Amino acid sequence: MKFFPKLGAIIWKDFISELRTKEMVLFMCLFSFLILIIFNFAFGSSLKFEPGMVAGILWVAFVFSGLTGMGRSFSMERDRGTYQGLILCPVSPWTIFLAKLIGVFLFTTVMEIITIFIFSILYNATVLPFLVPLALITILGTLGFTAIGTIFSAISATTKARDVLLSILFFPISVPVIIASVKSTGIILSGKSLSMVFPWLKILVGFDLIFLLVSYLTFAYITEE
Amino acid sequence: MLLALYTIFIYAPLEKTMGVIQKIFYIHVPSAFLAYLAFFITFVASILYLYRKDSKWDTVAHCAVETGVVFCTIVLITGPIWAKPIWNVWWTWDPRLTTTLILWFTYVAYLMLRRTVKENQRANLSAVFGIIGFINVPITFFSIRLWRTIHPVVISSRGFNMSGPMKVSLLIAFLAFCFLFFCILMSRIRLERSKMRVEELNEIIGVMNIKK
Amino acid sequence: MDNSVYLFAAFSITWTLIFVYVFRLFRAQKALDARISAIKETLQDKIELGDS
Repeated sequence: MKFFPKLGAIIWKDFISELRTKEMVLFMCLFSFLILIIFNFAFGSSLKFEPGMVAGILWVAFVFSGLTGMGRSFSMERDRGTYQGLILCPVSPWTIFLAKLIGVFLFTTVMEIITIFIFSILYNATVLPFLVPLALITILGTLGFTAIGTIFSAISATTKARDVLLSILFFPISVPVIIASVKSTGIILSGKSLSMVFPWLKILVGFDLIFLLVSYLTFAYITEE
Repeated sequence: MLLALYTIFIYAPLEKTMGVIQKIFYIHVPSAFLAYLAFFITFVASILYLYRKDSKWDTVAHCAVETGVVFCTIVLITGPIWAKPIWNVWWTWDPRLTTTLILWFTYVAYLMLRRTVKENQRANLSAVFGIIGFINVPITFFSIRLWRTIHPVVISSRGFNMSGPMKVSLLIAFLAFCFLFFCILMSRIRLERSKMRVEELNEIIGVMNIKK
Repeated sequence: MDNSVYLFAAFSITWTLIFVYVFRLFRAQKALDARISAIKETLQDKIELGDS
């Protein structure tokens, strides 16, 4: 089982470096907090607690702040000059991808937990009774968009305009994930029956699987030079 | 040169039909089909490029995207122009329109990607994005459709019956546009090949200069 | 009919777009063709010079 130790090594490296500086998670949380606040001003006093709409706001906060984390995933390697070292490791490219994905996924999830907490306060949302389904949707949705973000981060890390390019590449492709996640979160928060969430769940799971497969097939080409 | 040919093609049969505004359809429908076809070509060409590593396929993929974006732009402009007098709105968020809009964005992003990436990796990365972009299309379509069935749909979808002469006109327009599409695609590919040839020749000169 | 305005707009925009794109392709092609023949000439000259 040589796969897991190698995978673990890369994840551990990212985890330790983050633990020392804590910059990524900190910035992501601050950014998502700001987004939640700004939406309040964007909608003015007409913002009543309507589950469908605030679900959208929550996911905008997740995605936009997640993008900063995803962008840094590979560009950080480039900037520090460790990219070549990473590619030269005797691991398959997909292992690198998975390791980066898991790292970003974990950091983003931490950010999301904190964001949900702040969200429930700022928007007076009752979240506790719905915690389990909410967690499920959040995990699936986050997996989807972080997978996409990691692929595109690897692609755009080679360029100068990397953050902008990442955003332009990311948004058209992540539309299904965002729609599905927002809709399901809206349904969950409004307390409606969970069976309504199933079609969205299928889309999310399908999306995650398809793009993990695609990344498996193509990531080697991204790291070629 | 060839432009004159299909201009004549389309104008002749169009006059047979009734309902003036309806004629936009003859541009809109073939363009939509061709745009999707173009991106399918990109999808296949990208896969072939990654397998064979022949730069010919990368050229095909790139040119198909450009041509596809042109036709997609036409779809997105003629659509609202047709919709406004008929339905009295410029835009609806129905699955077909929205997916086409996302499609447009995806392939504009492809072109942006090609611009900003360095040469040695450009073909690889574009091919990967070409593949991801196309796979995303059906998924996006179904997500949006699911989204719309939950909300009450204000405007019903566009199906309506066509009489005999209209069908013929549409077919002719369709063929004419296909012809136009492939002409543009081939011209674009030829242009790209010429660019590559110029680079090759420049290299040869460079080598010859060094030899001296 | 009022709608004719829309029809006219749609057609003109479409054809304008197509014409502009094809024109740009055409112009670029011409420029490249000119360059290719120029390069070929210089190559010919160099080959002749190298032989003599």
